This record gives sequence, structure tokens and C-alpha cells, in this order.
Amino acid sequence: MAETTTARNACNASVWLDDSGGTLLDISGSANSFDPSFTREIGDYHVFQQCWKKRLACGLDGSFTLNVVYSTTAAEAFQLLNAWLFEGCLATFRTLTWYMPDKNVGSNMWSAEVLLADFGWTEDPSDPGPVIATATLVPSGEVTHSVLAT
Amino acid sequence: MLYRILRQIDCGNHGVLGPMAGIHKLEWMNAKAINKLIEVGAISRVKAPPMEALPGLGRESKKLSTQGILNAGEVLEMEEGELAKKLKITKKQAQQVKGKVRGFLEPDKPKKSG
Repeated sequence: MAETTTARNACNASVWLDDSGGTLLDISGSANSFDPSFTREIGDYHVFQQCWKKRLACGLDGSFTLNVVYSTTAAEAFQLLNAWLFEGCLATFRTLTWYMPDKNVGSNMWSAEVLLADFGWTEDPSDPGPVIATATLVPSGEVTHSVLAT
Repeated sequence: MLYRILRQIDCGNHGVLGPMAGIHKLEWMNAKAINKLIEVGAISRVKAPPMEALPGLGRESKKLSTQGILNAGEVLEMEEGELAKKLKITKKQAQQVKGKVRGFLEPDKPKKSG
């Protein structure tokens, strides 16, 4: 088995989120981790006289956890998420786009229209480190995957 | 050179091309970008067969071979007007010839899964 030569870390990953005006903003500089995850809905069943289970697959879903640094600039992740949360009861969809391993030709690019499902942080006076807030974004509709070609 | 799109690629101002987009020249891309996309398996070079190998295109193949055009890829890269001139047919007929050639080179549509 050949050893891979194309392993990459996430140091240069890039995460972008819409502001209220629909302009994608690069929040990589104020986000310190990003956890996308996907699930496939699977149903299983047995039929008579068969030992092994059978399965059928149907829907796909995703959930994206974003850990951001508390900062005070409006166009950075924390203030962007906070303003989004408090824009009203009827949440609006925003475009979330991220790139791995970087934002160059050949990189993977995912994109989705998302809602802000959870947003929270801990304010601890005994912790000298920056406050880190965690947001969970959930997609509405398809999450697209492309290879960046420009 | 022609390229087959194997995975969905985001071409910025040129839009998004999915695997069903078939064969493209990708003329707006530089060699470095093309090589990178080949390396990551997003596109591949089309290794087009000789025209004479394509069934139902014998007459066109003969006419074109006398003008030094032997490969199906060359036919696909040619503008319809130019092809029409070489084959002494209308532009619409040239478009149909290109469509036939394209049909032999593009991948089959994926089968639906359960």
C-alpha cells in the first residue's frame, strides 16, 4: 500500500459567512476551529430466512460547529453571529462557505444556506485566555461540494 | 486540449461545472490550474479516438482525413463554422456532427440508486 503524500492539516483552511447584506466575509481570522459533520438517514430491516440485516438510505443532513474568538469588530465572527442571533425571531438564512486545505485551485469547497441554531460562550474571570464562543449552524437544503477551479 | 469534468468544479465567473457537464476546453484556465485539478482528480484529459473509429461518421471521417484532421478531439475543438466549411455542410449539420462525436466521448449518465 503506497503511503499518502497528500495529507494536509487545517492551518490554511478558510471559512466565510454572509453578513446581513449578503456579502460573504472571511471569518477565518476570528474563528479558531470549525467542525463540519454530515449524517445519512438509514433505515434497516430483516427479512425472513436471512441472517444479515438489510439497509436503505434516504436523506442527508449536516451540522457545522464553529468556535470563534470573542472580538469587538463588527465584521468578525463573534459580532457577525451575535448580530445575526439578535436580528429577530424569524431567523434569516446565511451562506456558509468553507475551503480545505486552503482557498486555492484544487481545494475542496463546500457551501450551504444555514441557520444559526445555537450560540453560546462562557465568561470566566479566572481565565486569562480569550473568550471562545461556540455556534452551531444547520443547513437548509443542499450542501454543495465543489473543487475550486479559479 | 479537451478535458472531462469528473467532479463538480467551481469556476468563479465561469460558473459551476458538474460531472454531467461533459467535455470542456477550459480555455480560461492556466496550465498550473489545469495540472492541479488533474492531480486532485477533478478533471482528466480526454484521450479522443481517431474519427474513423466512431461508428456512423465514416463519410465525415474520410472528408476530414484528407484535410489532416484525424482525431475526434480536433473535431470537438473546432468551431461549427470551420467544421461546416471543411465538410461542405451547413452550420446546423456541423453542430449535429459535433453532437454525435460528443456523444461517443462523454460519460454515460449515472444510474439511479435505490
